[in-house]
Amino acid sequence: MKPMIRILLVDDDDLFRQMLHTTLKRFGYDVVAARNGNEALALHQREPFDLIMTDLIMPEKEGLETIRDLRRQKPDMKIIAMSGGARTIVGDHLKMAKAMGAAQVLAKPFSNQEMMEAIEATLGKAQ
Amino acid sequence: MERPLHFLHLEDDPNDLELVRATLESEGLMCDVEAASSREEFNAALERGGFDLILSDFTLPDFDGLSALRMSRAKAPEIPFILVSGTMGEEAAIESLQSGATDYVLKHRLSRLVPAVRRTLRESEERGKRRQAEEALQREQQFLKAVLESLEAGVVACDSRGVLTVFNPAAREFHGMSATPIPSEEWARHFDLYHPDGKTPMEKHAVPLFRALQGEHVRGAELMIVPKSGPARTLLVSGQPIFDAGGTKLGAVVALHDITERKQLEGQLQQAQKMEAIGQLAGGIAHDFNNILGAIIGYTELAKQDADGNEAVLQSLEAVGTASQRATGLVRQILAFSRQEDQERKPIQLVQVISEALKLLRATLPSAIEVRTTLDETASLVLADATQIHQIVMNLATNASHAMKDSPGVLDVKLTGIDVDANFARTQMDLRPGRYVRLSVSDTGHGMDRTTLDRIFEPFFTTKPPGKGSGMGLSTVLGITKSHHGAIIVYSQPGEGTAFHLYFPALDDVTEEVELHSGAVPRGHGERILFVDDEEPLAQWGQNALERLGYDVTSRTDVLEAIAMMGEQPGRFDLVVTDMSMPVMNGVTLSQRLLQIRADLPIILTTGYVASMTEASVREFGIRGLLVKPNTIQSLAEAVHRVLTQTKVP
Repeated sequence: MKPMIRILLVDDDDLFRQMLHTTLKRFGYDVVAARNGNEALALHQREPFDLIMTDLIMPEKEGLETIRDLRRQKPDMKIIAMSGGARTIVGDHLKMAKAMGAAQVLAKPFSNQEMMEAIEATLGKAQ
Repeated sequence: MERPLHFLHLEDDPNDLELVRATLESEGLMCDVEAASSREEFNAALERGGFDLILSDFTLPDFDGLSALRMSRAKAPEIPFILVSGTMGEEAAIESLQSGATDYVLKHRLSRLVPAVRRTLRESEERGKRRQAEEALQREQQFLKAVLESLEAGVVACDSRGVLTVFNPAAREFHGMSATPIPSEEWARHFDLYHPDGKTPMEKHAVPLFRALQGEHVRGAELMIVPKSGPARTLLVSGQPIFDAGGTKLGAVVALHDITERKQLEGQLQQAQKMEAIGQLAGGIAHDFNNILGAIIGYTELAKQDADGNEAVLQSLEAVGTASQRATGLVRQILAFSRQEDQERKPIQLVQVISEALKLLRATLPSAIEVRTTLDETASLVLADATQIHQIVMNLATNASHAMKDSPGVLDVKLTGIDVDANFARTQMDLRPGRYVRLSVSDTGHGMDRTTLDRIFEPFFTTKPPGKGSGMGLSTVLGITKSHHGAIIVYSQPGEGTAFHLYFPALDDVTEEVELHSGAVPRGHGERILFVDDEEPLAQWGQNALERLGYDVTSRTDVLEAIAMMGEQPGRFDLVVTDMSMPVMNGVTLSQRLLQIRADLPIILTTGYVASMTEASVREFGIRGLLVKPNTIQSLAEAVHRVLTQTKVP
């Protein structure tokens, strides 16, 4: 049997994060959740992940900054960026995330199908 | 020394000539005499003119004193005329005085001559002074009249009884009255005065001229004047009573300044600020909503898996899903209003997009509505998002159709190229002088009153019954138009239909030529620039613009070609200007690739919309400058100059 894929989920919105946590587990992933960029970086240093799914607009440490620092720690880190917009244009913000090395981007709200396609596209490329 | 007395003396007897002269000089009057002894000589002397006085004999061989008097009154009425005669009778003397002679002196009483001459000269001098004073007064009045007539401000003055004495042309224009004077009791037939709200009629005691006449110094009073003929205006009025040197009240004066444009702009600014605030609020709510909707949609999908095939539960969850999708659509619209939605702007012909939208619309519009279109095929390209323009046409046309729903009507859609001049631009906050493409959508429906008109762009404002409209239609139109750097002007009257005019900046804005030659634009000196944009027309525009500014420019639409050129010869360019959104590779990634080739390469990023990007944030990637589209030659020239100058400084 293939080893479980480990995903680090980063989002400051409790409800959304808990939903995604449950959903990802249902799809058979091993999920660890963080509430902001700082927590994510600390977890990432302690243990390896196959994929990081991160929100972009968060207190304390912004998503774009988080992506930059994660990739400094591990340049080939697989990252999916998610955003619900506000304070900026959704598209441009997600484009920036892509420019900074996110493999896929998801505009909130998204369906399970859209999410799975993004995960498979990211990890499929890796494997 | 006193100037000698220069006079003309009509006299045929040389002895008498000498006698008169001696008499005058004996009393200290120096004489400069010009003698004439005939009609011809007298006439010739009068033609030459310049005399202080004329003395004349009464009887001459072929001429006479009365004829000479008439001649001189006709030719030089201002020169005093004294008859000096040995033979004049009383009747002749009276006739001469009636004909305009100043005086007469009998030769046998020549002692009267000197006092008569002196008195005459004194009176003549006084008359001269009076005439000068009158002329000066007249000049002053003419000057004052010219000043009043050329003033842009209106000036109205009245005397102490309230009768109007001054009403300059500007004031007449404000009051919608002709240049001819109109009695004050007829004024009310020509105009109405209101308080600044434009609704409350102004009572007599509140009218500034009346207040000034009561002794008040009126400052900063605002009123609205609505002439029976001519446009309504908002006037700023100051005024005060007028007193003479002794403190007696002469009347009052007011100065009227037309502040209609300023008021209009203030209103627009207020409206824009309100929209901005609502936009920010809506954008913030949208962000939270997307998270909430994400959770609802996600949990709905989880619940469906857990429903264990229970049809009733599945149907309910399906409904939750459908409702969530509708909410998602609404949030997208809010984001479009607050201009936070992504857009793909390209140079497009609005004609095509509008025609397509109208084709779709015709099928859904009631048959009673006649659609008229006048679309100028030659209107300029516009940098726009076709999907969003499509949306604008649909929203406006749908509203128009609703406004005409119960009766036959006309939906008129026009597209024209238009030059916005400085005068018009001054009255519209969002317009700059230059070339625009104007989309006009008008209907013959029920129209709107002022109160409704003020609120139509607010999100969730709707005149439709609950559940019939989202209230987002016009908000979306405004958001989209503004994100295209455009402007909306709405005209509407209850019962007379509504017209929306949307202005989009033309891509080939001709004013840039003017800017380019104004001398304020920094220019290049052959610096080598690579201009990258995947849109051919934009790449071409950039190349032309920078070449005209004096740079050596290469443009590319293919990022890979651009990278290859740099790879072959890293020192080939002094600066790269690249677009942000390109299909193969975006501007940031391209910049990173180029910086890997040459770390100190100056790069400027251009982008359609950048709430999230700032100069500081792109600098993280080593990019030196950020330029927001649509960029003018001015802004491009300044950014390029700035980055190149920074680079030169060690």
